[in-house]
Amino acid sequence: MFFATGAYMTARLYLIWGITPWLGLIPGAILCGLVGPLIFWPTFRLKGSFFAIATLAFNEVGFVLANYLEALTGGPRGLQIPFVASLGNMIFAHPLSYAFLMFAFMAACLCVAVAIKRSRLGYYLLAVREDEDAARAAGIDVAGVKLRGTAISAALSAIGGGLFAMYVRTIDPPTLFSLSDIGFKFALLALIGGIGTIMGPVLGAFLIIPAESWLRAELGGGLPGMHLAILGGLMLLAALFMRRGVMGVLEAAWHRWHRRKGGPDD
Amino acid sequence: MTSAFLSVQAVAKQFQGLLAVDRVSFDVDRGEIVSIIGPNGAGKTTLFNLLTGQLAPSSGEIRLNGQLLNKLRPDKRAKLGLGRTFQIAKPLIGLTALENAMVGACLHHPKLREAEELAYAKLEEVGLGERAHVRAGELTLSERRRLEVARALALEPHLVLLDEVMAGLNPSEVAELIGLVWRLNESGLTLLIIEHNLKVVRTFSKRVIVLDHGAKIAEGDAQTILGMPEVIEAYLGKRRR
Repeated sequence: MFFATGAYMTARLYLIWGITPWLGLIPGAILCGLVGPLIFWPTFRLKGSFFAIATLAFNEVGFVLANYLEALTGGPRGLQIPFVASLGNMIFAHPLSYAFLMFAFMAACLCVAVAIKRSRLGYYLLAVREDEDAARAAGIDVAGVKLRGTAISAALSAIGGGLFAMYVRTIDPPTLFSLSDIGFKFALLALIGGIGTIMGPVLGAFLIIPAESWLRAELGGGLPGMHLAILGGLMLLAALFMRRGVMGVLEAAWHRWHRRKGGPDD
Repeated sequence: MTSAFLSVQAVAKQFQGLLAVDRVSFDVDRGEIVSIIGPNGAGKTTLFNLLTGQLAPSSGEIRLNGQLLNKLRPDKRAKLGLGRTFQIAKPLIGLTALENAMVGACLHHPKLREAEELAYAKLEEVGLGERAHVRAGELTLSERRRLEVARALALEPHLVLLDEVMAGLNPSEVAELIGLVWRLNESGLTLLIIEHNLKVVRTFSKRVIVLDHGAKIAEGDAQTILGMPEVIEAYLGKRRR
């Protein structure tokens, strides 16, 4: 939903007033950072799968609203951004330029993640994830921590959405609110890579996105949609047997190797 | 207006039909170790949860240093200097021991370096210095209990509530924890302790409060209390069942 808001905001500002997307990304990020936590406030009491279901419901509400608010979103027809390549328009003739742009955004996200991890908020987010009662007993304002976490993630999602809009140049509700391509994908990447780690989601993306493209190409002809079933299965397996993702597996292997090398003392 | 450090006045907690805590009153002075004993289901942990704010009392008043706590959230009470452990230890199992203690230490130390120093010092204090980088999920029961104590101590509290930290430990581990309680008390910490083991209670508590069916049935020094007929009855009654 934040992803879509950022996408619409950036595209609309560019289409109506010709505001360069470099600046157009910002209002969406600010809007999502401020409003996001407010609309998610009622769900903070929910835990685990109930929270997940509520976020899915928000996604569906967003989908309906986007179809309905034609003046803002172009409704079911969506928005088309004409191809006028220039640096200021954030539209490039060469696909490699987009790759650089996305790479830079990823680097920025990683910097934010590292900064959070090295801050008090980082510890508090971990504590809240592990056990809310224990977190409260340790003096943590659980709702406040969730609000701040949501604000940051909503703002970053909005920027990601804005970049996505300028890349595909045609945005409509089924694309932006797609569960399999956007909503679940975010979770899947983190889940496979390793939740709560910095590099986990990056690793997840490098593994899953090419795998998905390959599967889609291989199976798309004979068994359309089969790649989704396989990814869903992967997600299930990861949730059951690899709770800390690829990063967790790597970490455990690293520790074992170290122990062996260090001898019986270590 | 009492001058007691912690003052509990006619505090009650009603769960629908069940009166879990029945107008309990007591005071704790600065520097004391007070134990709360009583058979299973006597309302000890419920009373603790009322003190720390996990539950809201149905009636009565809880004051710390004269300040009314009734409506404060648990995190606000922690900021006022109230630390606790949980009966069923709640270490943050995905985090290392040091990170667990860090979570507490951050409360008064926004600078991570200071927080880390404090967290490490508290781990040393409970004897977990060498286990600092082990994930809490891999610690033994005794270590998890001590980790909870370290996390509570990292809040730099004035009053710590220990909920059955000795339960399920072997005698040498119990002796270790008793030593820790003594040291903490000597350093000026006030402690309120729920304990099942009467021998343990006798070793460190000058004052004991006995709960049965949610009500306070006795209060006094350990020797006298443990000889009182109503206390023996409350305990033996439970054993007979």
